Amino acid sequence: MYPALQELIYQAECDYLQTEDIENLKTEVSTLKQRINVYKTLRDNEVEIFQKIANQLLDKLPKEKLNEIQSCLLQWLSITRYCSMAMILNNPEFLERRLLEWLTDIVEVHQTQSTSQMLHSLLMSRLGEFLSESDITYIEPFLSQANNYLSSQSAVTN
Amino acid sequence: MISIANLIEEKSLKGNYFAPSAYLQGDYEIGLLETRGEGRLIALPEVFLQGVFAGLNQEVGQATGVVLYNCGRWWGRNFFRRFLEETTAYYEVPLPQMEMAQFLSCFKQCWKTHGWGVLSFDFEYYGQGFISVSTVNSPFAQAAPKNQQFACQLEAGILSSFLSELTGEDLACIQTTCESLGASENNFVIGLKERIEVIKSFVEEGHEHAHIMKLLSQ
Repeated sequence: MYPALQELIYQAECDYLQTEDIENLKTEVSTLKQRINVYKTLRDNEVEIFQKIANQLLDKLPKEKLNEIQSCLLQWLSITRYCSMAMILNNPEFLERRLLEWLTDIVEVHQTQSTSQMLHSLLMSRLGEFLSESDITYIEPFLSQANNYLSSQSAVTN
Repeated sequence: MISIANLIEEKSLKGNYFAPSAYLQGDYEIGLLETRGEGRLIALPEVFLQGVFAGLNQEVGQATGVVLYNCGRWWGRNFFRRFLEETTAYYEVPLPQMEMAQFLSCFKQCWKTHGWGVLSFDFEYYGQGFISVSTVNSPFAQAAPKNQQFACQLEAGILSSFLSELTGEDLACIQTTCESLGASENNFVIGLKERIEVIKSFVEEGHEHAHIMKLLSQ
């Protein structure tokens, strides 16, 4: 589950952890509290964060079909939930296996990649209203991972 | 106006049911491997599959492919039932309301998590009544004797009955390339039996898969 911790546990199978490993362990544990706080903020403000994004999308894309915008919003609601858990676990693979691999085919069929990218950038600026700059650094890599994964996979197939 | 609160209320936000770390479970104490839906799983060692090919070859010779295909057909029907039960229960959507893209994505993930390789669909010829499927890293092609004959009849059987159950048509499946014969992937064509029967002669004439698809659609 926690790859960084798992690796330390394996190393400790036959030996004491060395100073450097202990430092890694400390970092992992000490940032966990902050990551949980970010998680709670995202969880408690989910509707508020995304409602504004939904309104912005409708303004920016007046010609786009309503159900396509809705699917895109659903995808990103889901992505943000999985990113939040991946952030707590500090595990990009969790996000890839539990969501992205499976979601890519669905996004491709809907052809919503450009709306999806727009949504990602609206989300990033919206998060700035709820999280401090340092807090954003915890969740940002996972949201970027999702955005890059979905756009690069569809580029491969096209 | 889109209401996010309503969207969250009405729609599922669930991800990949078949993610290996979530799907493969078991009660190791009593020697059970299970799916997260409590269906029993067993691991088939490569030597067992090699034994199946060797044993069948000795007992039924040329008919090996037909036997494996029919086993696959039977397996596929039950596999479809279990797949459907698990996915519709998890996503809380009956099959007719499940989006096809989601259904197929689940199927591909399921295939992969069971260790049967990576599966892809090609619907370019769907309008003409054919579905093309490819798999890579097939455990059956890997265990089969090399450079002898097509080795993925089990998979062909599974695919034919799975898609027959899904579409309500009696579909058959014929393999056109095989990793055991040195190809980079295994290709299959699925369609009505009388319409794809001709593929066997195209394969015997040595046509490539892409060319066979063109010939079929003419």
